[in-house]
Amino acid sequence: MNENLFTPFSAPTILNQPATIPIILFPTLLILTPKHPINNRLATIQQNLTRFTLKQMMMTHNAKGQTWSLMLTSLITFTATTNLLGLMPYSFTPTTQLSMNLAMAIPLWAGTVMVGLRFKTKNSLAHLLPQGTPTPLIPMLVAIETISLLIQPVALAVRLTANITAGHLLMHLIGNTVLALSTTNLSMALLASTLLVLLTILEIAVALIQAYVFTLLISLYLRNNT
Amino acid sequence: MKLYGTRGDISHFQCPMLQSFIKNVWIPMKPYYTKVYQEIWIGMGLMGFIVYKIRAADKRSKALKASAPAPGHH
Repeated sequence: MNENLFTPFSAPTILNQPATIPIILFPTLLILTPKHPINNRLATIQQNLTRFTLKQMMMTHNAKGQTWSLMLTSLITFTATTNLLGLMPYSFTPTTQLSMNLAMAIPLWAGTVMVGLRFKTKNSLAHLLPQGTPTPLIPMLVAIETISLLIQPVALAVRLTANITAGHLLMHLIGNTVLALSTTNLSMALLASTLLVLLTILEIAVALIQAYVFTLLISLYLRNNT
Repeated sequence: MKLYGTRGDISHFQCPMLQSFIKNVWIPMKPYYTKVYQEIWIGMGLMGFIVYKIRAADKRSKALKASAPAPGHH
């Protein structure tokens, strides 16, 4: 039995050694690296999915933005597979850790901001003041826009952490409810287990959507700066 | 790990794993790591700085708590 509700989210250990890094690297074993021009069915499905995601994401970027294709495709693949693997019982999801999500969000966001400052300095500084602002409001609005810029990586990280953690916690709670009710009130237990099934389907969707939203926002920040 | 070449006429440092890493990872990814991701490296430096600051503050506060134990809370 868990000591508290957040015990499943603690960093895992194998024989007292931290196992976080092997767990983070595990999804790479599941992703095939096809070497032939025509591959088997599984590799072709994976290639088609990757090509579809890449096209959807990078279609609206210019040439400079499209140099980030590899980074963004890796990001969405890693986040989606990590989130989906975390739905298995007794598994550890690295994306429930705020440290991990901040470590993904801060370099990418800072990279996009620096791309903008380096190649389009005037344009990226002009983003700090919306068009049509009345003159007396300019200092306050520049301060507000700067704060909203600086909060972007924190929002990215916290959004992913909170969504995945909340979903896992809810599944835990409802699972415990089903277990507790199964001995006393079978009909309520069946109702709760139906709820659990629906929640699991929702969590699968949330896992994919959150990965997509994370990558889409980084792509949006990049597009604003290139 | 085979460190030195086994042929008699050459004596150079060999490291098959490093050579394989350079051939399969570094050479294909070199334009990305050196040109495209320059700003991301700077972002990683910023993140490392933030991590260092947080860790140092945590260490400082733990040392402060250890050196001056608080009286019993009411």
